[in-house]
Amino acid sequence: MKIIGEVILEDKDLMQEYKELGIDYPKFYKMDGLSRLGWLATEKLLQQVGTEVLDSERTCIIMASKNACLHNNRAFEATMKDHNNYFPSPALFVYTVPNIVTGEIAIEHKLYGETAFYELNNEDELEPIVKATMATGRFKNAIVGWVEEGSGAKLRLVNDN
Amino acid sequence: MVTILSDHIITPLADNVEGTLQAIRDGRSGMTRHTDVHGQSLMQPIMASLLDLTPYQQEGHTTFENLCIACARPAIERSGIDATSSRCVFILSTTKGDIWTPTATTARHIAQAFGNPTTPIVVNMACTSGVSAMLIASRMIEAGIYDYAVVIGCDIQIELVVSGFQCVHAVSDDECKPFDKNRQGLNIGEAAATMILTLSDERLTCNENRWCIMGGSVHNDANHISGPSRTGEGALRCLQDCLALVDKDTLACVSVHGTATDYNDEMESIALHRAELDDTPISALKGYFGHTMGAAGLLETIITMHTIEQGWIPACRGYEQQGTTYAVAVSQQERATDKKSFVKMLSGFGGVNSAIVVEATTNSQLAK
Amino acid sequence: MEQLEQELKARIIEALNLEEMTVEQIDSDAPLFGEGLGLDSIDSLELIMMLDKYYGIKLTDKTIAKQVLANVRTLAEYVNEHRTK
Repeated sequence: MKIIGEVILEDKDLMQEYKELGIDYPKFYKMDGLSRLGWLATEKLLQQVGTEVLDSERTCIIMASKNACLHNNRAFEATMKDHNNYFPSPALFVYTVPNIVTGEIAIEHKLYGETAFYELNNEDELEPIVKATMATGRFKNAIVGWVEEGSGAKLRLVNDN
Repeated sequence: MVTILSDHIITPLADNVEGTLQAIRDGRSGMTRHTDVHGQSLMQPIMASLLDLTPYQQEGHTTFENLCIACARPAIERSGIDATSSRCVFILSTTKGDIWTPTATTARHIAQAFGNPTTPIVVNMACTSGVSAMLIASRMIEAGIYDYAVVIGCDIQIELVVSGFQCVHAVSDDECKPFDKNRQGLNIGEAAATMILTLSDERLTCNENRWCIMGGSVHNDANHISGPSRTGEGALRCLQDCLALVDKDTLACVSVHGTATDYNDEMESIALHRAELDDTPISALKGYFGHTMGAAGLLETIITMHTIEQGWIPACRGYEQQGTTYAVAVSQQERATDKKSFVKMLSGFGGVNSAIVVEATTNSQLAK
Repeated sequence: MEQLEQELKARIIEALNLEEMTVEQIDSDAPLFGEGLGLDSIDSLELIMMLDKYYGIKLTDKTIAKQVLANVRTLAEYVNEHRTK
């Protein structure tokens, strides 16, 4: 595996980061915090390496996190916890699984390859998973990322050799 | 390719494979109308297949952890593997785990209960988690990173999840009707299922058939974060990958996701048609125990494996008449089969789809 | 009625996180779904929840929901007639 590009994005002022990207993608506003973070970091990575590296069938997206979509789960809970003020939000509910972030990226770039999400203690634990995934020989490259809402994202693009 | 050394399931129908298979054969389901989930009252009642969790409410571990441990223990014992070995990894498939605790921590507690020293992996790929967990387990073993994997799929229902599925209008008030014209949505379910995997090797095999995971794949629809592709893009690609591993004439069935929502079943019928699997028997099991989320992939694979071994494909409980654009070979009657392979397929939020090929192999096949 | 339309536009922007849009940019007669604002099925469910929360309207019938959510004008007419709060 060869690392082609790398991006570190702190989870602060993401709205400003989005505007600086110069991309018009209204779906960004609808995303939960985890998706915003992972999606933005991916866009920054792609600005670095160029979108032409993406292969619609053979680019894999592997992301992982410790707290996953905990923040969004809390936000959804706030809409349904109080039975006297019970209005569960469909738009929040769909983000109560963390792999949505990988779906957001696949949707924007029309990637039909594998999208995967793991919940781990730290980013080092992602290494053997990436190694085993790339060892299948099914993928040309992979966007690999550790995404922790409230903290930040660390993404890289790895090539199969 | 990896071999399934042993398995175990806990469902509302029975706390083992034999009892669950018997209930399916008798046409029983775990569905009841509930006004609460495990003591949490609901704003709207729900038709669901829920476990009695009292046996798992013990000191030392959370209920979720105890359920996973109770489900893993018989499988580990029957497999004869050494779960305390650093060559053995625990892989947990769950969409919620103990919701407010990081699931990696939960998985660690489960692995530690067996004296396992390695770092567990939690797969959370929405409703496709179970099949995806079996796939990553296979890959870790095939890459030589581990020799054994204890793969556990489990979800316990909570009010948060129930109200979520209710607010997106995905649930049926009555027992679900997969692929039927009058299907109204899914039933929520809960279960635990475990599988022990190791690298396929002729030395493992006796005279009996051994079930192996031949391979599989994950594909995204690249279409929508909650609704499935109208053309079944991801599921089609998964099926095509499976058909590259197995001759479709040797398939006993395709065990589909079959949630009984309008969109899911329609999408699957389109993907099956596009993959030219219109005549291959389709098995949809959610009429018996609902949608068990993180457990679904393992549970439905284990049930399909054992029913095929006994020569039958379960009836699709709830199905009456064709309700999808393409007529897939789903049946309200139990069917006989002498074939020994099948595809297990799932789809979920995030536009993700996954499928694997499972096949019974003999010594001579492995020697090749 | 025009005031209700303006209020609904603001509620739609808030409920659906259409942060880059302003009330002025939403045409009362433009379709909400499909081409118009490009809303999807989850947005429609979110709007149904919004109607319940702010106006006490329970839209359960899919066909009626589709007619009501056609555009801001149809929505305002329905809210005006059926609101309980």
